[in-house]
Amino acid sequence: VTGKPPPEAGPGIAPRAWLIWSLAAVTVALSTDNPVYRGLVALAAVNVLLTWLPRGRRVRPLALALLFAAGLAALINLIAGHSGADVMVRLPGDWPLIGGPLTVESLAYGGVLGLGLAAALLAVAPLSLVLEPHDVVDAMPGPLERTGIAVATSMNLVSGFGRTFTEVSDAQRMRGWRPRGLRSWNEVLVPVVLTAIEDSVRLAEAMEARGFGAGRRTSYAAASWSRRDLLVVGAAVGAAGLFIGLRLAGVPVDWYPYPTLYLPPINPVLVLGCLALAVPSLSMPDPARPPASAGPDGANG
Amino acid sequence: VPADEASLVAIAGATTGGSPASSTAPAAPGPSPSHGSGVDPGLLIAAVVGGGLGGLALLRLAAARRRAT
Repeated sequence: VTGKPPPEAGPGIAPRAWLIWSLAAVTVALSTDNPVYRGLVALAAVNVLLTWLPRGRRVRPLALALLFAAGLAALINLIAGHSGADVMVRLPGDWPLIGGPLTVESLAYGGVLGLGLAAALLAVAPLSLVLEPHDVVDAMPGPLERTGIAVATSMNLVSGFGRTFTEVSDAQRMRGWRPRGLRSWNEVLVPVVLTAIEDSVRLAEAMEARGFGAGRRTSYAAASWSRRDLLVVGAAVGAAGLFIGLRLAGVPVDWYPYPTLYLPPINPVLVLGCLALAVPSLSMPDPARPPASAGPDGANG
Repeated sequence: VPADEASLVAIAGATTGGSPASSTAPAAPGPSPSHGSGVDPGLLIAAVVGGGLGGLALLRLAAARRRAT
Protein backbone atom coordinates (compact mmCIF):
# COMPACT_ATOMS: atom_id res chain seq x y z
CA VAL A 1 0.00 0.00 0.00
CA THR A 2 1.49 3.31 -1.01
CA GLY A 3 -0.06 6.22 0.80
CA LYS A 4 0.01 9.91 0.12
CA PRO A 5 3.53 11.25 0.51
CA PRO A 6 4.04 13.48 3.52
CA PRO A 7 4.50 17.20 2.84
CA GLU A 8 7.96 17.19 4.34
CA ALA A 9 10.54 14.45 4.07
CA GLY A 10 10.94 14.38 7.83
CA PRO A 11 13.62 15.53 10.21
CA GLY A 12 16.19 12.92 9.29
CA ILE A 13 18.16 12.02 6.20
CA ALA A 14 16.47 9.59 3.82
CA PRO A 15 17.73 5.99 4.16
CA ARG A 16 18.71 5.82 0.51
CA ALA A 17 20.71 9.03 0.90
CA TRP A 18 22.54 7.39 3.82
CA LEU A 19 23.29 4.36 1.69
CA ILE A 20 24.69 6.47 -1.16
CA TRP A 21 26.75 8.53 1.28
CA SER A 22 28.20 5.36 2.81
CA LEU A 23 29.06 3.85 -0.57
CA ALA A 24 30.71 7.09 -1.69
CA ALA A 25 32.75 7.38 1.52
CA VAL A 26 33.90 3.75 1.24
CA THR A 27 34.83 4.37 -2.39
CA VAL A 28 36.96 7.36 -1.43
CA ALA A 29 38.58 5.56 1.51
CA LEU A 30 39.51 2.51 -0.53
CA SER A 31 40.44 4.28 -3.76
CA THR A 32 43.61 5.74 -2.31
CA ASP A 33 46.55 4.60 -0.20
CA ASN A 34 47.21 8.14 0.97
CA PRO A 35 46.96 8.33 4.79
CA VAL A 36 45.96 12.01 4.68
CA TYR A 37 42.85 11.36 2.58
CA ARG A 38 41.98 8.24 4.54
CA GLY A 39 42.35 10.10 7.82
CA LEU A 40 40.15 12.94 6.57
CA VAL A 41 37.46 10.48 5.47
CA ALA A 42 37.58 8.84 8.90
CA LEU A 43 37.28 12.21 10.65
CA ALA A 44 34.37 13.24 8.42
CA ALA A 45 32.61 9.94 9.14
CA VAL A 46 33.18 10.35 12.90
CA ASN A 47 31.59 13.80 12.76
CA VAL A 48 28.61 12.51 10.79
CA LEU A 49 28.15 9.56 13.11
CA LEU A 50 28.33 11.65 16.28
CA THR A 51 25.91 14.19 14.83
CA TRP A 52 23.24 11.66 13.94
CA LEU A 53 23.76 9.02 16.63
CA PRO A 54 20.37 8.35 18.26
CA ARG A 55 20.11 8.57 22.00
CA GLY A 56 20.84 5.35 23.83
CA ARG A 57 23.25 4.01 21.22
CA ARG A 58 26.90 3.78 22.16
CA VAL A 59 29.97 4.16 20.00
CA ARG A 60 32.42 2.64 22.47
CA PRO A 61 32.11 -0.94 21.10
CA LEU A 62 32.68 0.39 17.59
CA ALA A 63 35.69 2.41 18.72
CA LEU A 64 37.23 -0.62 20.44
CA ALA A 65 36.61 -2.80 17.38
CA LEU A 66 38.20 -0.18 15.12
CA LEU A 67 41.26 0.11 17.35
CA PHE A 68 41.65 -3.65 17.42
CA ALA A 69 41.23 -4.07 13.66
CA ALA A 70 43.53 -1.18 12.75
CA GLY A 71 46.17 -2.24 15.27
CA LEU A 72 46.06 -5.83 14.04
CA ALA A 73 46.47 -4.72 10.42
CA ALA A 74 49.47 -2.57 11.32
CA LEU A 75 51.03 -5.36 13.39
CA ILE A 76 50.60 -8.00 10.69
CA ASN A 77 52.17 -5.78 8.05
CA LEU A 78 55.01 -4.91 10.40
CA ILE A 79 55.96 -8.49 11.21
CA ALA A 80 55.21 -10.05 7.83
CA GLY A 81 56.51 -7.37 5.47
CA HIS A 82 60.27 -7.00 5.69
CA SER A 83 60.80 -4.38 3.02
CA GLY A 84 62.12 -0.92 3.63
CA ALA A 85 65.43 0.76 4.26
CA ASP A 86 65.07 1.87 7.88
CA VAL A 87 65.40 -1.19 10.11
CA MET A 88 64.11 -0.91 13.69
CA VAL A 89 64.68 -4.46 14.92
CA ARG A 90 66.10 -7.55 13.25
CA LEU A 91 64.46 -10.84 14.29
CA PRO A 92 66.35 -14.12 13.80
CA GLY A 93 66.06 -15.24 10.19
CA ASP A 94 65.13 -18.84 11.08
CA TRP A 95 61.85 -17.74 12.67
CA PRO A 96 59.14 -18.67 10.15
CA LEU A 97 57.30 -15.75 8.54
CA ILE A 98 58.27 -13.11 11.10
CA GLY A 99 62.03 -13.61 10.95
CA GLY A 100 63.94 -10.76 9.35
CA PRO A 101 64.12 -6.99 9.63
CA LEU A 102 61.18 -5.02 11.03
CA THR A 103 61.21 -1.68 9.27
CA VAL A 104 59.73 1.75 9.82
CA GLU A 105 58.27 1.61 6.31
CA SER A 106 56.37 -1.62 7.04
CA LEU A 107 54.97 -0.09 10.20
CA ALA A 108 53.89 3.05 8.33
CA TYR A 109 52.24 1.11 5.53
CA GLY A 110 50.53 -1.15 8.08
CA GLY A 111 49.18 1.99 9.72
CA VAL A 112 47.82 3.14 6.36
CA LEU A 113 46.09 -0.22 5.89
CA GLY A 114 44.59 0.02 9.37
CA LEU A 115 43.50 3.60 8.71
CA GLY A 116 41.75 2.53 5.51
CA LEU A 117 39.97 -0.25 7.37
CA ALA A 118 38.87 2.17 10.09
CA ALA A 119 37.69 4.76 7.56
CA ALA A 120 35.68 2.17 5.62
CA LEU A 121 34.06 0.79 8.78
CA LEU A 122 33.23 4.28 10.03
CA ALA A 123 31.67 5.05 6.65
CA VAL A 124 29.23 2.15 6.92
CA ALA A 125 28.64 2.55 10.67
CA PRO A 126 25.58 4.84 10.20
CA LEU A 127 23.82 2.00 8.39
CA SER A 128 23.75 0.01 11.62
CA LEU A 129 23.92 2.72 14.30
CA VAL A 130 21.72 5.46 12.82
CA LEU A 131 19.29 3.51 10.64
CA GLU A 132 16.88 0.80 11.72
CA PRO A 133 17.17 -2.55 9.92
CA HIS A 134 13.97 -1.95 7.94
CA ASP A 135 15.42 1.40 6.82
CA VAL A 136 18.37 -0.47 5.34
CA VAL A 137 15.96 -2.74 3.46
CA ASP A 138 14.04 0.28 2.16
CA ALA A 139 17.29 1.93 1.07
CA MET A 140 18.17 -0.89 -1.27
CA PRO A 141 17.17 -0.56 -4.93
CA GLY A 142 14.53 -3.01 -6.15
CA PRO A 143 16.84 -5.72 -7.55
CA LEU A 144 18.84 -5.77 -4.30
CA GLU A 145 15.81 -5.85 -2.02
CA ARG A 146 16.32 -9.48 -1.01
CA THR A 147 19.99 -8.79 -0.37
CA GLY A 148 18.96 -5.93 1.88
CA ILE A 149 16.61 -8.19 3.79
CA ALA A 150 19.39 -10.76 4.23
CA VAL A 151 21.79 -8.06 5.46
CA ALA A 152 19.22 -6.59 7.83
CA THR A 153 18.34 -10.04 9.17
CA SER A 154 21.97 -10.89 9.77
CA MET A 155 22.46 -7.56 11.54
CA ASN A 156 19.60 -8.45 13.83
CA LEU A 157 21.02 -11.91 14.42
CA VAL A 158 24.35 -10.52 15.61
CA SER A 159 22.76 -8.49 18.38
CA GLY A 160 20.39 -11.36 19.18
CA PHE A 161 23.32 -13.76 19.40
CA GLY A 162 25.08 -11.49 21.91
CA ARG A 163 21.90 -11.10 23.95
CA THR A 164 21.35 -14.87 24.05
CA PHE A 165 24.96 -15.46 25.03
CA THR A 166 24.60 -13.11 28.01
CA GLU A 167 21.32 -14.68 29.08
CA VAL A 168 22.58 -18.27 28.81
CA SER A 169 25.87 -17.58 30.59
CA ASP A 170 24.01 -15.76 33.40
CA ALA A 171 21.59 -18.69 33.75
CA GLN A 172 24.44 -21.21 33.82
CA ARG A 173 26.29 -19.21 36.48
CA MET A 174 23.16 -19.18 38.65
CA ARG A 175 23.13 -22.98 38.35
CA GLY A 176 26.68 -23.10 39.66
CA TRP A 177 28.57 -23.24 36.38
CA ARG A 178 31.98 -21.60 36.31
CA PRO A 179 34.29 -21.22 33.30
CA ARG A 180 37.10 -23.76 33.67
CA GLY A 181 39.05 -24.04 30.49
CA LEU A 182 37.95 -24.14 26.89
CA ARG A 183 35.90 -27.33 27.20
CA SER A 184 33.62 -25.90 29.90
CA TRP A 185 32.29 -23.29 27.45
CA ASN A 186 30.40 -26.09 25.69
CA GLU A 187 27.73 -25.71 28.34
CA VAL A 188 27.14 -22.13 27.17
CA LEU A 189 27.83 -22.36 23.45
CA VAL A 190 25.56 -25.35 22.76
CA PRO A 191 22.41 -23.68 24.18
CA VAL A 192 23.34 -20.43 22.44
CA VAL A 193 23.67 -22.11 19.04
CA LEU A 194 20.45 -24.09 19.56
CA THR A 195 18.61 -20.90 20.54
CA ALA A 196 19.98 -19.11 17.47
CA ILE A 197 18.73 -21.93 15.22
CA GLU A 198 15.31 -21.84 16.87
CA ASP A 199 15.16 -18.05 16.47
CA SER A 200 16.08 -18.35 12.80
CA VAL A 201 13.33 -20.91 12.17
CA ARG A 202 10.82 -18.71 14.00
CA LEU A 203 11.93 -15.69 11.98
CA ALA A 204 11.56 -17.59 8.73
CA GLU A 205 8.02 -18.65 9.69
CA ALA A 206 7.12 -15.06 10.62
CA MET A 207 8.49 -13.76 7.32
CA GLU A 208 6.54 -16.36 5.38
CA ALA A 209 3.36 -15.52 7.31
CA ARG A 210 3.85 -11.87 6.37
CA GLY A 211 4.11 -12.71 2.69
CA PHE A 212 7.86 -12.62 2.18
CA GLY A 213 8.67 -13.49 -1.41
CA ALA A 214 5.07 -13.00 -2.61
CA GLY A 215 5.85 -9.71 -4.34
CA ARG A 216 7.49 -6.35 -4.01
CA ARG A 217 7.84 -4.95 -0.51
CA THR A 218 5.28 -2.22 0.15
CA SER A 219 5.23 0.66 2.60
CA TYR A 220 2.52 2.76 4.15
CA ALA A 221 4.26 6.09 3.58
CA ALA A 222 6.24 6.99 0.48
CA ALA A 223 9.47 8.73 1.39
CA SER A 224 10.38 11.86 -0.51
CA TRP A 225 13.74 13.55 -0.60
CA SER A 226 14.41 16.93 0.91
CA ARG A 227 16.93 19.46 -0.30
CA ARG A 228 19.24 18.29 2.47
CA ASP A 229 19.13 14.74 1.12
CA LEU A 230 19.98 15.98 -2.34
CA LEU A 231 22.85 18.05 -0.95
CA VAL A 232 24.24 15.07 0.97
CA VAL A 233 24.04 12.79 -2.05
CA GLY A 234 25.45 15.39 -4.41
CA ALA A 235 28.43 16.12 -2.19
CA ALA A 236 29.16 12.43 -1.59
CA VAL A 237 28.87 11.42 -5.24
CA GLY A 238 30.94 14.45 -6.21
CA ALA A 239 33.70 13.45 -3.80
CA ALA A 240 33.79 9.88 -5.06
CA GLY A 241 33.71 11.04 -8.67
CA LEU A 242 36.53 13.48 -7.99
CA PHE A 243 38.81 10.77 -6.63
CA ILE A 244 38.02 8.34 -9.43
CA GLY A 245 38.28 11.01 -12.12
CA LEU A 246 41.61 12.38 -10.93
CA ARG A 247 43.01 8.88 -10.58
CA LEU A 248 41.98 8.08 -14.15
CA ALA A 249 43.52 11.38 -15.24
CA GLY A 250 46.85 10.30 -13.81
CA VAL A 251 46.97 12.61 -10.79
CA PRO A 252 48.92 10.92 -7.97
CA VAL A 253 46.50 9.97 -5.19
CA ASP A 254 48.45 7.10 -3.61
CA TRP A 255 51.32 6.90 -1.20
CA TYR A 256 53.77 4.02 -1.17
CA PRO A 257 56.38 4.41 1.57
CA TYR A 258 58.90 1.88 0.19
CA PRO A 259 61.86 1.85 0.05
CA THR A 260 62.15 4.97 2.22
CA LEU A 261 59.56 7.13 3.93
CA TYR A 262 58.53 10.45 2.42
CA LEU A 263 55.68 12.87 3.02
CA PRO A 264 52.52 11.87 1.14
CA PRO A 265 51.59 14.08 -1.82
CA ILE A 266 48.51 16.17 -1.07
CA ASN A 267 46.21 17.70 -3.64
CA PRO A 268 44.08 20.56 -2.17
CA VAL A 269 41.16 19.66 -4.46
CA LEU A 270 41.07 16.12 -3.07
CA VAL A 271 41.23 17.49 0.48
CA LEU A 272 38.12 19.53 -0.29
CA GLY A 273 36.58 16.36 -1.74
CA CYS A 274 37.11 14.63 1.60
CA LEU A 275 35.61 17.64 3.36
CA ALA A 276 32.47 17.29 1.20
CA LEU A 277 31.81 13.96 2.92
CA ALA A 278 31.21 15.88 6.16
CA VAL A 279 28.16 17.67 4.71
CA PRO A 280 25.65 15.51 6.69
CA SER A 281 27.22 16.77 9.92
CA LEU A 282 26.56 20.42 9.05
CA SER A 283 22.88 20.22 9.94
CA MET A 284 21.78 19.08 13.35
CA PRO A 285 18.88 16.64 13.61
CA ASP A 286 15.71 17.70 15.33
CA PRO A 287 16.06 16.79 19.06
CA ALA A 288 12.41 15.69 19.13
CA ARG A 289 12.81 13.30 16.23
CA PRO A 290 12.34 9.56 16.71
CA PRO A 291 15.55 7.47 16.85
CA ALA A 292 16.01 6.82 13.16
CA SER A 293 12.70 6.73 11.37
CA ALA A 294 8.99 6.54 11.98
CA GLY A 295 9.44 2.99 13.22
CA PRO A 296 8.55 -0.42 11.88
CA ASP A 297 4.90 0.57 11.45
CA GLY A 298 5.90 2.46 8.37
CA ALA A 299 6.72 -0.75 6.57
CA ASN A 300 4.44 -3.71 6.28
CA GLY A 301 5.83 -5.77 3.44
CA VAL B 1 90.01 -12.02 -12.41
CA PRO B 2 88.77 -8.72 -11.02
CA ALA B 3 88.16 -7.18 -14.43
CA ASP B 4 85.91 -10.10 -15.43
CA GLU B 5 84.02 -9.86 -12.15
CA ALA B 6 83.46 -6.16 -12.70
CA SER B 7 82.15 -6.77 -16.21
CA LEU B 8 79.82 -9.52 -14.94
CA VAL B 9 78.47 -7.23 -12.27
CA ALA B 10 77.99 -4.50 -14.84
CA ILE B 11 76.09 -6.89 -17.15
CA ALA B 12 73.90 -8.07 -14.26
CA GLY B 13 73.16 -4.49 -13.34
CA ALA B 14 72.27 -3.62 -16.90
CA THR B 15 69.90 -6.59 -17.29
CA THR B 16 68.09 -5.92 -14.03
CA GLY B 17 67.87 -2.23 -14.66
CA GLY B 18 69.76 -1.33 -11.53
CA SER B 19 73.01 0.44 -10.92
CA PRO B 20 75.73 -2.10 -10.09
CA ALA B 21 77.95 0.34 -8.33
CA SER B 22 75.42 1.98 -6.04
CA SER B 23 74.83 0.37 -2.66
CA THR B 24 72.50 3.04 -1.30
CA ALA B 25 68.69 2.79 -1.38
CA PRO B 26 67.00 4.27 -4.44
CA ALA B 27 65.22 7.56 -4.14
CA ALA B 28 61.62 7.66 -3.06
CA PRO B 29 59.22 7.42 -6.00
CA GLY B 30 56.87 10.14 -4.85
CA PRO B 31 57.37 13.86 -5.24
CA SER B 32 58.88 15.77 -2.38
CA PRO B 33 56.17 18.08 -1.11
CA SER B 34 58.38 20.74 0.37
CA HIS B 35 61.04 22.42 -1.65
CA GLY B 36 63.44 24.55 0.26
CA SER B 37 61.84 26.43 3.11
CA GLY B 38 58.38 26.84 1.53
CA VAL B 39 55.36 25.13 3.01
CA ASP B 40 53.35 22.86 0.76
CA PRO B 41 49.88 24.45 0.35
CA GLY B 42 48.24 21.03 0.15
CA LEU B 43 49.77 20.06 3.47
CA LEU B 44 48.61 23.34 4.98
CA ILE B 45 45.03 22.89 3.77
CA ALA B 46 44.99 19.28 4.94
CA ALA B 47 46.23 20.34 8.38
CA VAL B 48 43.55 23.03 8.66
CA VAL B 49 40.75 20.72 7.46
CA GLY B 50 41.95 17.82 9.59
CA GLY B 51 42.33 20.00 12.65
CA GLY B 52 38.88 21.47 12.14
CA LEU B 53 37.22 18.08 11.69
CA GLY B 54 39.12 16.64 14.64
CA GLY B 55 38.23 19.54 16.91
CA LEU B 56 34.60 19.37 15.83
CA ALA B 57 34.54 15.63 16.54
CA LEU B 58 35.91 16.20 20.03
CA LEU B 59 33.28 18.87 20.70
CA ARG B 60 30.51 16.57 19.49
CA LEU B 61 31.86 13.73 21.62
CA ALA B 62 31.90 15.97 24.70
CA ALA B 63 28.34 17.10 23.94
CA ALA B 64 27.18 13.50 23.55
CA ARG B 65 28.78 12.55 26.88
CA ARG B 66 27.14 15.54 28.58
CA ARG B 67 23.78 14.54 27.13
CA ALA B 68 24.21 10.97 28.31
CA THR B 69 25.00 11.90 31.94
